[in-house]
Amino acid sequence: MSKRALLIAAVAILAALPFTFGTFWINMVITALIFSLAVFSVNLLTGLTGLLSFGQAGFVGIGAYTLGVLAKQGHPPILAGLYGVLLAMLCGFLLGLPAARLKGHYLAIGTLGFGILIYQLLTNSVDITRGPMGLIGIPTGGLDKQTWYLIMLSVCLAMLAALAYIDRYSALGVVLKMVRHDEIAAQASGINIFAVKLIAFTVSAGLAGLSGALFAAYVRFLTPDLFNEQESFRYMMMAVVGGIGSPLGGVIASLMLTMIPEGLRVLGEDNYRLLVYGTMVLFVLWFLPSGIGGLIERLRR
Amino acid sequence: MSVLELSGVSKRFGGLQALSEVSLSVSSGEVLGLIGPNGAGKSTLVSCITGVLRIDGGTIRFQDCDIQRLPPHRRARRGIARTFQKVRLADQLTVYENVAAGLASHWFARASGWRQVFRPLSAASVAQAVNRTLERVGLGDVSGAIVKSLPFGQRHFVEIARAIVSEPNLLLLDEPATGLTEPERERLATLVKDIAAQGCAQLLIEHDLELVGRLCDRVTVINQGHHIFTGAPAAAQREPEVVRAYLGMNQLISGGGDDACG
Amino acid sequence: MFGQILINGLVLSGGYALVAVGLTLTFGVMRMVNFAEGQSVMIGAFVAYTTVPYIGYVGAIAAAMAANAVLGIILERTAFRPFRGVELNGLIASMGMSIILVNIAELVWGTTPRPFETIYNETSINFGTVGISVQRLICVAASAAILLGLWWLVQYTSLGRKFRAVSEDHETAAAMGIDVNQVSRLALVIGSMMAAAAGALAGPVNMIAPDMGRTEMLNAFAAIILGGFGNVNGTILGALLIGMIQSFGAVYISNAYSTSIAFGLLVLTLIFFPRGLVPERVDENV
Repeated sequence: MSKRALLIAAVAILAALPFTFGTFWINMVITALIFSLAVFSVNLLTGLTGLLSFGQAGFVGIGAYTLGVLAKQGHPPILAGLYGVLLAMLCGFLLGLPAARLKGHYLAIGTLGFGILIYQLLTNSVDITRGPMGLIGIPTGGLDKQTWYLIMLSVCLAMLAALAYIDRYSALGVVLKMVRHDEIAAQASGINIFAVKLIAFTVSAGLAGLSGALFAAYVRFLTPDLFNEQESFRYMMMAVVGGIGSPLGGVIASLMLTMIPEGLRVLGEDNYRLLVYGTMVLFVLWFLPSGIGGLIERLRR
Repeated sequence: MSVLELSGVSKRFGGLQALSEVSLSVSSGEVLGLIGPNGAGKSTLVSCITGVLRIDGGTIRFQDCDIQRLPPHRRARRGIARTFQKVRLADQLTVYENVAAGLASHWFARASGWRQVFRPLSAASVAQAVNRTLERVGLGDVSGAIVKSLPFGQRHFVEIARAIVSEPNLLLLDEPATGLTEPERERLATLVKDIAAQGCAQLLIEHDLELVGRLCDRVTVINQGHHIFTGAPAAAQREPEVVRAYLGMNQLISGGGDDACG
Repeated sequence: MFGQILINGLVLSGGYALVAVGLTLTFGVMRMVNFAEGQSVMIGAFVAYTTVPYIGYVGAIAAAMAANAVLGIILERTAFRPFRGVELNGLIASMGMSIILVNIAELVWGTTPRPFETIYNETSINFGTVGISVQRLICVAASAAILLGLWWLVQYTSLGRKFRAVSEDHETAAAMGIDVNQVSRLALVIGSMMAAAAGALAGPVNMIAPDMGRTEMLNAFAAIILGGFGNVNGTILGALLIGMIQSFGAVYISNAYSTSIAFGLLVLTLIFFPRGLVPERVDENV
């Protein structure tokens, strides 16, 4: 069978899955797919352009809360979601302005600080976000799980295709990689590295915001704790476990790192959730330094 | 026609005066050699021309425009290209991809070029330019090879290809012959002559003085940041100050340098 | 009032300094940020808490430091040595270890915060109109003593010279015969021990809980940015600044936003000083 036929078959099978599995697992998969969008934002920023960000959860939170707050005020959810993504992009742009000049660990901690500031803002703006009391009852019901699954599957596949295209086929990919590998040489070839980094931050933030908006629409209940720095670390961990340059690995990592611990919770072994999570991360790092994506690459050849 | 004109260029780093009132000019089709003992300031001068370093005094004119205020990427888009003393390529990417990166100067030079960025790398416009350049430098058959797998000497040529794929008006070559085998040196010489024949101005930094003598129409000699001579290569050899500068640093006038440390 | 705030600030600063210096030491030597450092504080606090009834407070502090020394060795083996050269992975690995440690602590000690009682908490000394609990004084004094000890170690001992050598340049240090692995291990051990001290000293001031390591880390990061990665003296000053700002900020500006103040300052600093306040050596080689 040709590669294309295989691909179509795979997509068809994936699309048919929800009709065969129980509600709990569909829920898991949907949530994992929503998270993988945040992971994609890390793939784009860190994998392709080489920039670190330990504050992505802040952008996810902006997307989520914008949709939540606006939807509760009566705005149509899709519009609210769009605003969420745009607001996240604006914040990404604002972060990018100073961040694009930072290097290495300074960048990591600067973005961490930014993420924490957003989290604090979300927690303390009780008038708008209801803070720790939580934003309940976001009016985006009316879609059943199967539909949500198909939506998320489509969105993820589209993103995977876009990222793969950028990474492997497009001229843009080469530009991003030059910025990552050698800034001086990139400049000498006419690339404005500041602008590239700024755009990377903006687009990556938008993608994370999209993840947040979808999360808010699906789960319909938000607390600021869902967007603290621990969550930022989780996205980084998923991204690295999946292989920092591999969005496909990112999806698989998201699935694994979401489903396995939750599965444990179902089995009543809740207390070991973090233990299992951390151990999985360590094992992949020890034995698969290029992550799951690296494994996929090796299997390909 | 003068492509590059440096006039009284000075640069200091803290307490160190790296360049003092250096002047030189290169015309289209000309190959100007830039020579001097180690630490004379040659690479610093190149960095000043490309914009990575800001000068403290003097002027730099490129195609009759003062480019001092321009950041490096804008100077590159105007037609200044360079290679590096320590080869700077993306090791994990292919030769094709590395050379294609050199076209960024074109893609970003005009607003309409931006669309190119989203097109595939295999698009006709890109492929034509890249493949043609690869043929020119003699790398036509390793287009798909990962740079990491190439021998050291070949990588120099990849860098040169990346620099010339955008058809620059000024090419700055920073010790391109370092670590090259004999046949590769010949290839380099032919290439430099070919580039000059196409009208591009070149500034060649080299320790390999035999190569300099063959390829350069004129040489500028600097020592410890000072310009000490400009003229024909043969005349340079006889100039007492030049001889003194080199002997003082235990450099050989004949037989070419050998900087294996690239 | 002012005295209270000052002491509070010093207590905070002391804690942050202990953690931050450990981090900066580890970073200087291994070029990796130890995300499990916050949990080292937490483990130290809990070990002290558990052993206090048996061997008294001073003994508990020693026990905590000993336990963390072992932890440091484990961390070096699992989360750092395997990832030399792939620093991002090492960073993530330490994150993984971090959550493993939190879980282990939750399993052993439960998730609810508990008060860490010592006799010193009860008694206060009065300086004029200001009453300060002895515990806080011990905190400040002990932190200062430990930091002084570390500073002396780095400046004057042969081990300190090795630390500085490896921080400057890995390869040269190895070429000079310094066992980089051993130095890394020691850096991590010392860092963890200092974190243990931080936990054991500051634990009684507030309550302890398995997730207490988070905030410690964040503020330590802020201190390092201000003071310079790998720069021990600068980090101590940075910690002092952060602690004081939080203490004064909590009272004079807003309690809820006190963490933000520190991080707002951090972000502002980075905007104007992209290389940090204390720039590292630049090796741009064009």
